[in-house]
Amino acid sequence: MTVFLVFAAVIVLLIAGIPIFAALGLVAIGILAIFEGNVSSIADTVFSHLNKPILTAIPLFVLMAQIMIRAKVIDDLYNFAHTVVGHVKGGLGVATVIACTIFAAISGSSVATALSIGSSALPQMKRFGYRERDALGVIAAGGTLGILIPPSGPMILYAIVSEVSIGALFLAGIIPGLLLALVFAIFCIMQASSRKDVSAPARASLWTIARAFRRSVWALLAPPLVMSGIYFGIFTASEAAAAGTLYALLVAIFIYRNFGFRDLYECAYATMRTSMMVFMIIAGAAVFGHAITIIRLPFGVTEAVAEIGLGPLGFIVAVMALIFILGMFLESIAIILITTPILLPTMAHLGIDPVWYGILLMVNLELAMITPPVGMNLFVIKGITDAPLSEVVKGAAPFVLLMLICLAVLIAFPALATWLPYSAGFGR
Amino acid sequence: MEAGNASILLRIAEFLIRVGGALSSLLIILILGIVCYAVLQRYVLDKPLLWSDQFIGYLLVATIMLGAAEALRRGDHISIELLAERVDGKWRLFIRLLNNFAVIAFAAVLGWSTWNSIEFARAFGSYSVGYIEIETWIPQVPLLFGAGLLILAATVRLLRLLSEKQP
Repeated sequence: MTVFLVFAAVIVLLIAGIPIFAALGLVAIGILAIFEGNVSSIADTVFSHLNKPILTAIPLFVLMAQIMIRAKVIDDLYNFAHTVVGHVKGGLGVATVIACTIFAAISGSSVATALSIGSSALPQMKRFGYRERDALGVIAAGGTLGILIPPSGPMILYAIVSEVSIGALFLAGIIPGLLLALVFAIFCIMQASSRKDVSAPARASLWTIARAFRRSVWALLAPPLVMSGIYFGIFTASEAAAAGTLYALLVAIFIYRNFGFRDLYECAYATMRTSMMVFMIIAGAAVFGHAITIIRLPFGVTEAVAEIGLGPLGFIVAVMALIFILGMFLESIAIILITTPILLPTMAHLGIDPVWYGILLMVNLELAMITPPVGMNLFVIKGITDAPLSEVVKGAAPFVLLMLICLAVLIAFPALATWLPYSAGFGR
Repeated sequence: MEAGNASILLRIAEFLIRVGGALSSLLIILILGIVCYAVLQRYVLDKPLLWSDQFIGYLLVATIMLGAAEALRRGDHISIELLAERVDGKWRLFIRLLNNFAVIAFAAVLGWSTWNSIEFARAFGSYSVGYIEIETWIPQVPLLFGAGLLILAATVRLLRLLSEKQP
């Protein structure tokens, strides 16, 4: 009953349009006032949850992507991918997926990925006869790879809440991310093959490919630089983010020579705007998490699951179904911060690997980005193209199905996610 | 004259919020510099900085609390607009007013709680544990500023919403 009332209160406030951080905070204040008769612990809770050096990874990864976008370092990514595979029928869709995959390994955000790649990919696909709906769909879906392929802002948040190693989670996202990209690419070829209007540009010469590679090499080098430091255990996530940002800054200043202090400030300002939104949700969710722990809500869920007799598989399937539904209405950061503290004790009780669960959660949150009525990538694509939302939704629909299949495969074969981090020495 | 004064007050409030946002942006650059310096000291010079993690934690709190109001002013804090988009006229205004009151309420409780916490820490004379030994209330001060700026930003939005309805 308490679980129901708490969720009902959160949902009512969210539907009323109250910013997520304030909605979570106010529900928590209500719980603390009723059950403790005292809300003075709020400041200490917020301070202790924000006073974490590892959280600097979030703004620093955003800053790295902002610098690369502003200095136009990533502008040549799509061109390179398009030069390599564009001549295949459906190759422009594949190029979009490849460019999204590479940019996902630079940026930690799905929205940034869809925005950055979408504006170069869409005109090309339309020029070569792609149905608008299909082109919009592949950009929306390709963009979602931003949160599964490391670095990833949502992964960092999940890792902090669940106390899982960020490095382990980053590595765990690589194989599922590439698998998803491969499935998207194959679908693009199949979809284009079935359409007579779709054509392909002529095969690029080796010289053209080499030139495109030379132009995009600075963007291509960023992901291995960031991930190798984490893989070999040299850098923590925030150190890797700082190293990546410094690399982006040096490339922008000395290679592209189009970047000054004013640009750095503008990038920091854009980073501040994005990051404050995330951090304030962390603040609200911290108070919320504190309040529900006081009323022992997470343990109530564990007891309820035990009573029903759900095993690990049944629990995972039920949770994934719940998160899929929540994802239609809620933003991914809120879903992570609301559900994880509630579910963690049950996961521990059932012996569910939190790294594996984290990856399942990320795939489900990718789905949330492209499922209506609230799907951030759907809105972003609509915003940059002026296409009707219904067209974007229809274009993304086949990718929703593909992602659900991939989610099922990851549930059936946990090693797809866990093999890489454990082989790199991250302990269970 | 009164409307003119109100307009000046709103501009001053917005200026303060923008200053908070600018300081927050500069702090992000400072954090980048410190993390890079710490990496250099640890991995190249083999002289790890002992204070950097604790200092970055404090800086991060300040960064967040100074920038949160500017993000609110720019409409960056995520909310679900499903209901507000489906109603119009007075109901839409009511929902938008309610949302700003909600932010004010949360920020007010956060500010009050921080004030209590600072008073308690000062009375108790507690010092932080770690390499930077300072009184524990000092790193909490940005929470107080942040709560104040959030209240200011939400109030400005409220007043602007109300003034839009005036003929």
